[in-house]
Amino acid sequence: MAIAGSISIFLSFVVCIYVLIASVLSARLNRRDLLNSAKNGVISICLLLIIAAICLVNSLVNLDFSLKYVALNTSTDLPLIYRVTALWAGQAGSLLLWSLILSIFSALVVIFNRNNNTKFYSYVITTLAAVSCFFIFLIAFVENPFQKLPFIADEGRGLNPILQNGYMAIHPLTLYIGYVGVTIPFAFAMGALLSGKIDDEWIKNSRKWILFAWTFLSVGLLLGARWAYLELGWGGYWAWDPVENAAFMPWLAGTAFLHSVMIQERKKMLKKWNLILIILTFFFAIFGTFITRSGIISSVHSFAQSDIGPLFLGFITLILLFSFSILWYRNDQLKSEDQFESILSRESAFIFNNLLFLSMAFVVFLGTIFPILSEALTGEKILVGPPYFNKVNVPIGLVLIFLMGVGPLISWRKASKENLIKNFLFPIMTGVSTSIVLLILGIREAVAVLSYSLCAFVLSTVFIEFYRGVRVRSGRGENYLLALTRLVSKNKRRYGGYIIHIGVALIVIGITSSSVFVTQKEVTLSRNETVEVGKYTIAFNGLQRYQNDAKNATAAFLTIYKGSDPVGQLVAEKNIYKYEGNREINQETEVGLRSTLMDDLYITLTNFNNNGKASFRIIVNTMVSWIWLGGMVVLFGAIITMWPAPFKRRQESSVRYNLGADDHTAKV
Amino acid sequence: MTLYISVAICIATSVFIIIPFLIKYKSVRLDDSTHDQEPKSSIDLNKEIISMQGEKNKLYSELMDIEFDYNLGKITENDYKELRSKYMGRTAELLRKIDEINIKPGSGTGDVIEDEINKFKKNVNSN
Repeated sequence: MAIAGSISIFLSFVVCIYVLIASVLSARLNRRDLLNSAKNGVISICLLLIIAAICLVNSLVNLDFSLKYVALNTSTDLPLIYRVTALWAGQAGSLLLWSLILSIFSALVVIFNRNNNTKFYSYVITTLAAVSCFFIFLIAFVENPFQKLPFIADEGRGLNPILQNGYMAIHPLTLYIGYVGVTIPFAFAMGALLSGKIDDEWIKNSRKWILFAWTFLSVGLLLGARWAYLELGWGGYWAWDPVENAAFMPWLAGTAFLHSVMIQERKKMLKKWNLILIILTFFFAIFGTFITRSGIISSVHSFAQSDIGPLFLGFITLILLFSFSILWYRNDQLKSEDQFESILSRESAFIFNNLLFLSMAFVVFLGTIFPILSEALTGEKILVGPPYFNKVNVPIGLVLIFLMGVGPLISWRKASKENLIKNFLFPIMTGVSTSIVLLILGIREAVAVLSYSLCAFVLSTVFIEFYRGVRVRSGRGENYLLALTRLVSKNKRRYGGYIIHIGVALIVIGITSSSVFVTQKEVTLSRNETVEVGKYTIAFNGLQRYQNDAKNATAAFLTIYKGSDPVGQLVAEKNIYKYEGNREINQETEVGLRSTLMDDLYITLTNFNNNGKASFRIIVNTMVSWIWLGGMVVLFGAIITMWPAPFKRRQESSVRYNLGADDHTAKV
Repeated sequence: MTLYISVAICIATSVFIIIPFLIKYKSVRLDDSTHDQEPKSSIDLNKEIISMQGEKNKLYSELMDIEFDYNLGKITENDYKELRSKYMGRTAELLRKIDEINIKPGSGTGDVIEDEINKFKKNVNSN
């Protein structure tokens, strides 16, 4: 199987080179057969990499320790599910996954556009092939997942126990789908620039792909945050870790692009800006992969150092140089067809939104690469921590929340005084009332008051949009439920976007609450002793030790009371895993967690002794569940936005004409 | 066995890539060829019309959006009239281009556009 896998990878590299050359030649020589051959090549690469992935998964599941990758990432005691997900646990496997996902997406592009035989599509395929060539080169010649060991190992190194978690099992996959998904709109943009077809076609093709990629990046970020919250034991979910930042930057640039395309579609403006945005989004996606995989910045996520760093750096440099060169070459063709008329307009709101998202991305980028720069210049690696990121990004974030409320209600072109009063009076009143109520309730933290008030402002703007829309439809005789359903189904893009905004507001409320209103206590208890933390009383019932094939565990049993009423039992564990060839080298904690909408009670067993005493870190995190809930709402909104139109309506957009002299019927 | 499978894969891949060179195409050139001096085939014209129809439906959607925003009170009456007039103009221009190919008299008039918008709206609402 390993041989078949290796051959598939090498063959896919050869075919990729062919596709790259054939697609360029098809555009230069104007040859349809070359283009179709290149398209078949794209599909072949996909099938070959699927074969390679199946071979690797087979080797992982069957614990073929003759392969270096299998020996490094699995062990005989590893559950089946983690043997499968070990496909993306290590360097070589995750690069194979990247290549595989890109090949699947490229094949989908070819299939969806099988009847398109234009220079534009030739160059789209060229771009996809160029990116694929790089990644397949890495797995073929630098980090081959089928590399053999000179011996057959008796046992594998196993998977780091903190990665043996459901969220972490799918988090890399969702992020990779997001990263790779960004490549497709980038390819459409390059296709437009290289062919000179700088109309809206590339935007039209890109919009659903960028939304798809953005959705997976969002889900991936939240899954990673949830994993960190459950597994790392410090009670937080985001630490501005370099690898977290690596996924956040393309998300920020992608969000800016998602909004900005609306202006080009509606007003034929910002053509150059959108091209720059998608180039930057793609750059951040590749840069993110580079940070994660090269080990250039030490991080709790980066478990490997490798030879691919300089290659990635070269590839990134090439992307930027080539993309901006071709953009500069086409500069004259990228003039806007309309102009900004007023600073008080939806266009301006979107521009400010873009600038702020990009500013945030730049701030995160600078903070992430600062350790490398400092080491290069001074010889000393200076890490940049949360205070820098929070200090700069929190104010930017608050303004973005404000714009999230303004955008849906403000007019295109120029907002009149009547428009502003009519549309914004209620939301502003809601925001101001919220802040007054919070102050009356005794909340004095300025960031919290501002954040909650802005979220109330946003939620009320969304409410108004739904209310007015339902009112207009119910005026035609529909009942409210039917009006609401049809309002959303007939305007999926708009109302799906509003639902996403609701989700984001919920996430912001969760982040604000869990950052500002946290109660934490470190305590050592003997058996049957209690401690009060916030509104909870926690009674320590004792320790129990057990072991299984994977670990030696010490579990602390706790009973939780609210007042005098018991509300549940929790177990917090400290485990020593049999890891790396059965040597006891790693400790890991399992958090005792009680989650409600109002707060999370989060207990970590930090230490214990043979006298039965145990030390705990006890945290009450306010409203942190709103983050995960908001994430689900965002996902729901994104699905609505991406949902395809009914088949009949899609048929309407392809009308066939008979060109016979007497028959001009259009079948709709 | 693995070797045979691998050889088979190589052969299958090569055949799949070579097949397009063995097919006879009605036009050997790409669809957006600028070197073509020969008249466009009916297939090429159909494709052009399909693309324009897509553009036309997009403009109809924009007009519906403008009307929807006006009904929601998000744009003033003056802006509504101006935007509507602008998009109607673009639609008329597009319909004229379509009918240059299709030779359909009088189709760029406002009445016909309104008619088509209403048909489009009806089809959208009935789904």
